Amino acid sequence: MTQQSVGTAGVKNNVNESVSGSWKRARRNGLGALYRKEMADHIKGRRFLIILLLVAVTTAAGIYGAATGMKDALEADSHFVFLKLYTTGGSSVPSYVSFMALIGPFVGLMLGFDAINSERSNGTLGRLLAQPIYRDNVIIGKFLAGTVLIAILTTASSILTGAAGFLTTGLLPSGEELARVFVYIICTILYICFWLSVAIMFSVFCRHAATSALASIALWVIFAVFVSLLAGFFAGVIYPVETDYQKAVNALANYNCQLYINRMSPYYLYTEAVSSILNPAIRSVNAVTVSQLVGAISGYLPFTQSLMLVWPHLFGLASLTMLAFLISYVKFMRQEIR
Amino acid sequence: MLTKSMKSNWKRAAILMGMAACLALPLNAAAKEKETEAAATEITADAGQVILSTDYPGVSAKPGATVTFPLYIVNQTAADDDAALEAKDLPEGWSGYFRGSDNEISSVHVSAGQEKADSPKLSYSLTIPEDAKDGDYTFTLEAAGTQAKADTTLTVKITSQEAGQSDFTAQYPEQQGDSTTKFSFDTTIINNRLTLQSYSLAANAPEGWSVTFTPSGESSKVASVPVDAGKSQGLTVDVTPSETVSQGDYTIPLTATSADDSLTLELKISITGSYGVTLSTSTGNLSASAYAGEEEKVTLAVTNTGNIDLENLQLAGQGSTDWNIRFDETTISLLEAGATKEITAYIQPAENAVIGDYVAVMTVSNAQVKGEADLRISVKNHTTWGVAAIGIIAVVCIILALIIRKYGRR
Repeated sequence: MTQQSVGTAGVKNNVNESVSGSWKRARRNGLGALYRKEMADHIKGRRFLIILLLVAVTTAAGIYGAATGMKDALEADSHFVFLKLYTTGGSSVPSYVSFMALIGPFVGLMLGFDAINSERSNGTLGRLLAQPIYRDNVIIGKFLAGTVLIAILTTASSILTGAAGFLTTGLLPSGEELARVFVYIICTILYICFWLSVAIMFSVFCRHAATSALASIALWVIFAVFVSLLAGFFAGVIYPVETDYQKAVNALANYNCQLYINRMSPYYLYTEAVSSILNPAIRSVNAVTVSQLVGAISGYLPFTQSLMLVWPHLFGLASLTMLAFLISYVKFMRQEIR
Repeated sequence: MLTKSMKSNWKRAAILMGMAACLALPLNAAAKEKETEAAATEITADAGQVILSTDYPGVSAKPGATVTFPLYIVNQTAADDDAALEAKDLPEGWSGYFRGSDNEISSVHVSAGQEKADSPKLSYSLTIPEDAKDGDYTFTLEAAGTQAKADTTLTVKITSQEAGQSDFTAQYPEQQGDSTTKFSFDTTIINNRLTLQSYSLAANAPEGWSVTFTPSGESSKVASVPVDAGKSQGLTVDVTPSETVSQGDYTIPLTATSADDSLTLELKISITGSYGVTLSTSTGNLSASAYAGEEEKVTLAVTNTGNIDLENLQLAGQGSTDWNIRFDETTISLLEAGATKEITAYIQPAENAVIGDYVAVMTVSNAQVKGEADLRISVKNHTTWGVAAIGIIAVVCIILALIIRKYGRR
């Protein structure tokens, strides 16, 4: 790829300039140069246009969904109107949030599925590493550039949706609503970053870009679709609810089992976290028994309490992201580069 | 005055007329005849005298008072005459004089056949000395003409209390009601004096009570009321007890004081007991927040809103399943009327309470009353674990970065 060669030449220049500089400065320059090169590659690439189109269509569809479903949603409950822009869908169009949960992973996958193996197959990796830069800065730079791009796209898309809300409803968001949307954006960035790190991981393991792309998509399909099917299946095996007696005894355990299996899927974790943070009326993400609800009044949770509900989800997503990144990091560091 | 001949002529004519009428209306005629006969008999008996009279020959008076007797002089004789006026047998120290058309007079002219209605305006003004003792005093007024003589004996009863006393009464002076009742008494002031009296009204009610006077048929409240001589005036007395009135009987003396009269009326009000208790928090804020599984202090305020002391008030709290609500005092042995007592409630939500709002019902009750307060309890989770989680992530990131930097480099 011509762009990558240009980028590599740039790195060479930078490194040459800083030969006389301190070791620290050289290290920083190495990472900075790699990061800038990756950003430039992404933004100048034709693939970025596809990503941009994907995000734009998602945003537009989300806004359309909110516009069509807003009237009914407001009639049901007129509190936290601004948040409803994100969570309301029309009769045929899903909400912005569920669009992002489905389409978001593609952004991450597209940014990362050929990160390492294309460099390898083009032969640029060896030349890159011939420069006096640390090997880990290559993979860190790729991850950093992808993360920043995801953050920019996600934030822009969310702000666009909110701005469309201003325009159509004329309502300004309250401070709490802004805080909730902010947490939502962080969640989404974290979620898409997970898929980025998964894609980079596959690109480290697979020699061909097509293989890593397929593997990433397969994992996405498994998490988005099959985990919930499997959860139902395993829960049914472990806690059968066939007869009335089994239903009476196992219903709660069955539900909890399904819930825990589902939560292994980042897709489910993300959906649960986002719906709790954007809907203050949700009081619990776990199964609630009738006895717990005696004397309960319907109301809205304060922002900090909603955060308390979802911190394990955020923690889980962050851990998964870090895990995928660490695996790819270790594998990349141990790989032989020819 | 009618003469005898005239009268017999009249009688005859009447009889004739009666007989004539008898043909047509025998019953009516008979009645008429009887009437005419009676009138004739009376007149005959009184004929041929001069009569001196007054409307009220016996009066009561206070020492030092001036009593005026209006006099009428009647002449049944056929001749005009002048009659000299004189008071006889006046008690020692008493004085009086005759009045006629604003002058002191000593004699009066009587026309022939003068009747009572034709009598000149004549009166006797009697001044009673201040030191007159109680008792009945009699004296005589005499009108002596040349032919006939007339006298009338008057009796003055001296009492320190003047007879014909004015009066202040109530239709139902004793009433009953609870502490919120507005009592209304229909009272009447009767002025038995001979002159208009202006009564200033006052009430000696307990502190915090309000007493107002409204003349019957009026809407404005008054502090004094004028009553014409010999007339009565209806007066509505509205009594509002103080808000903190306790059970019992209350007497409210009313006074109506004029220049001559000092009238009193006692109203009796019996306040029945009312029970009431309210439960709130000391701040009036009926919401609180608590952490699941941890006790939270809420200061409750129990107020006796009735006017009877309450005994053995029991406090109880009902939350959701497995909630634990206790009080620093479960029983209030005595809560005086109007008093407020603060009780600390310790509310412990269940370990597995869902975060968000619950309602906890606090009740205070005894045999007579019950008060209730719904507290909105916001169950929370501690934020410490969330903060800790973020800290853990940050620490792990830093450690990983350091390890990578130190050992992972190639």
